[in-house]
Amino acid sequence: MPNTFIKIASVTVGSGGASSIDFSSIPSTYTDLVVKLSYRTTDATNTATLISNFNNDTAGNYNNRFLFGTGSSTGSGNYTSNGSNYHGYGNISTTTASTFANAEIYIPNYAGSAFKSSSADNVSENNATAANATLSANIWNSTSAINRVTLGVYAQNFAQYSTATLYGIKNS
Amino acid sequence: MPTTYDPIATQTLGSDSNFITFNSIANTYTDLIVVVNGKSTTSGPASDCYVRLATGGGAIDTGNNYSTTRVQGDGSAAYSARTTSQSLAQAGGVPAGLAGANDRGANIYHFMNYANTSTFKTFITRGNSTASNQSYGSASLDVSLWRNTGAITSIQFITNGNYASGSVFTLYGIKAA
Repeated sequence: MPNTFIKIASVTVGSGGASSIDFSSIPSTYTDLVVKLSYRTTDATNTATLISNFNNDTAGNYNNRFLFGTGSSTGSGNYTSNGSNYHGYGNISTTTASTFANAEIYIPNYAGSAFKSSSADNVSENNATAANATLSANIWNSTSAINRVTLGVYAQNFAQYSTATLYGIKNS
Repeated sequence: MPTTYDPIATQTLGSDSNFITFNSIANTYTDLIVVVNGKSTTSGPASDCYVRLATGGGAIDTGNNYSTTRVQGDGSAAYSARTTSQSLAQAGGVPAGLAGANDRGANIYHFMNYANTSTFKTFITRGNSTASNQSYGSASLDVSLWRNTGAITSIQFITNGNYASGSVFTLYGIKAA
């Protein structure tokens, strides 16, 4: 039986932080891609919005729908012709020390000829009242095979010890 | 290192079809995952998707034995709904006829402990029907129940209208050891 859930690459952010985590030269030999992420930002602003881009495309070719809960309320939002996939809020530097947000991004049929949809779960962790859980549904309006996935936190940097791992899944 | 995430079967539609079925699912795994990358031909902007199940190698259960609790965000509001005693389980959604020609949605289904013969079966669906033209779309999470204690041996995926040609369905088995 073949091994079909394969680690392609993994990144751990060093002491200087990082503005992005980049997985490039992704082969087209898998069926789906999965990114699992643990992260925190270096900034003390109010929000840390996890985003992702495919093939270094930062033009307005992404549409986003998302559903979120904060522990006290729920809501839904959308962005049209956005510059990235949207995945919701993570941890910032003022959240409880040593707490990290977690996210999983699932990208089916990433090498196919249709537009590329992706789904993500994202939760911020914080030993306080405020937290956030987001389910996002994105589409990248491109028929190109995805060969690069870049993770970022909008206008912020990933903090040390943030990690991301890219997996490839094969259906045969 | 044992292989614990096995591809069991893949179906890619060569023509439009209202449903597809995975049959003869072995009971040798712990959990099942199905990934659907597809679109509906129905005339609306998006379409709900549905699941029916079978046990013992028998026919698909079309009795009123399914229920679903849904939480969904359509881009402007979050809401929750529940359906009970249905003949099929509401589970996920895909873009439909008013969406862009190249749009495909993503539904990811998790069937936990599917082979046990003691408990009713519960499964979770993450749905993505976001369209490139923003005519409609949503992020959804469905928790569904099938009131049957039998091991799942068939899974059928249904949508309103038809799943469009080119829609891809892949069944994986996960082993605990």
